[in-house]
Amino acid sequence: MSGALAGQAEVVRIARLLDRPPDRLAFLEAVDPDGLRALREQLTDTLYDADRETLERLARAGRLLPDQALATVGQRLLGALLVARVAGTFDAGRASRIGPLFPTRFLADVSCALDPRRASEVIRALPADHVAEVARELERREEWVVMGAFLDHLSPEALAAVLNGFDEVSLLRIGPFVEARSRLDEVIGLLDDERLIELLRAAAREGLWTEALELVDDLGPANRARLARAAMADGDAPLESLLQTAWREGLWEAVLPLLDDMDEPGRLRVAEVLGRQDPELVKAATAAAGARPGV
Amino acid sequence: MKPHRARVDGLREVGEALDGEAPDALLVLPPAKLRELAAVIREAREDQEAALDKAVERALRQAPRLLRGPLRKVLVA
Repeated sequence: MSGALAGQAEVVRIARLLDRPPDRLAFLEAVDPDGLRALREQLTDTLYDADRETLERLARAGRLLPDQALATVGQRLLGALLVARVAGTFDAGRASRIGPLFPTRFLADVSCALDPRRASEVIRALPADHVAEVARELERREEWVVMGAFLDHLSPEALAAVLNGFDEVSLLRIGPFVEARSRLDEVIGLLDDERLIELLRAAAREGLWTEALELVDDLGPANRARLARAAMADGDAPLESLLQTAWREGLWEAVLPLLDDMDEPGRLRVAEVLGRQDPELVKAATAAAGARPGV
Repeated sequence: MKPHRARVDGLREVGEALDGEAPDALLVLPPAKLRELAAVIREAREDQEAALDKAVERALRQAPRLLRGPLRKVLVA
């Protein structure tokens, strides 16, 4: 992912963690993304290690209760915040039994208050269909940061179930917040060609090309080639919109690798569409292509 | 080049708010922004503490009478 978008995504994550509007922390965009990531990890530790003794006592007491009683106490008495704080202390087997006992909306509340890194095994152990239901609730709430953080920790079955129920626009919105960027290749691999075309249509329709192009960086050659074919499969309009965005946002580095994965007729079509664009755009594209290593 | 003294002080303030050492990468921020960041972190920690206290209070208030004693022992021992 490019530095600018990675930095913006980190600022939004930090703002979410601190429960403050991202605008209030916009000044952090001056810091490089790795530094912001280090700050966020430190903040997470500081915030989630607070009241550790109380939470450990709570977790120990929870282990004494049978599953149903624990689910009832968790939902009715403790609430989402406390459940989220102790969730990571339960073993995966128990969590997989208790998770489905909670209503979807409650689990979505828990997800918003959870540090997924501390509950990775628990998340992986939850039944795929239940995870998908929670994901749909989070999608309804537009909790893109939370979903992006969770995507890293889903089992392959849960990931497939989540993607089945997802809107393409949501996928584009979540993309910048996925931390394990290598997982994006798996995500794109799970979408069939029709959904890839729909993903690009959504990017053009909703003005989300930047988010779509940022995915390209993290894809392997096979999925990059599929994305390139999808960009060509829907008339010239998406391609024109893509070139315009690359020009406006300076995203040639993300667009040009797509050409490598196109066949000859595909490249000719790009050249044809390019020829109809503003001469300044053509100049910028040519300069960017010339500056690529090995050209 | 050595960072300006005021920036180092600002970074230290962020570190204190974090109960640790703040990443050096933050030194690109002007001192006023470092102080602002420290203030935001302190506020957030206070808010979180209040939210956890509220959650504990709520749990104790809603628990059946018989459960309140043991629950209090667990939550506020």
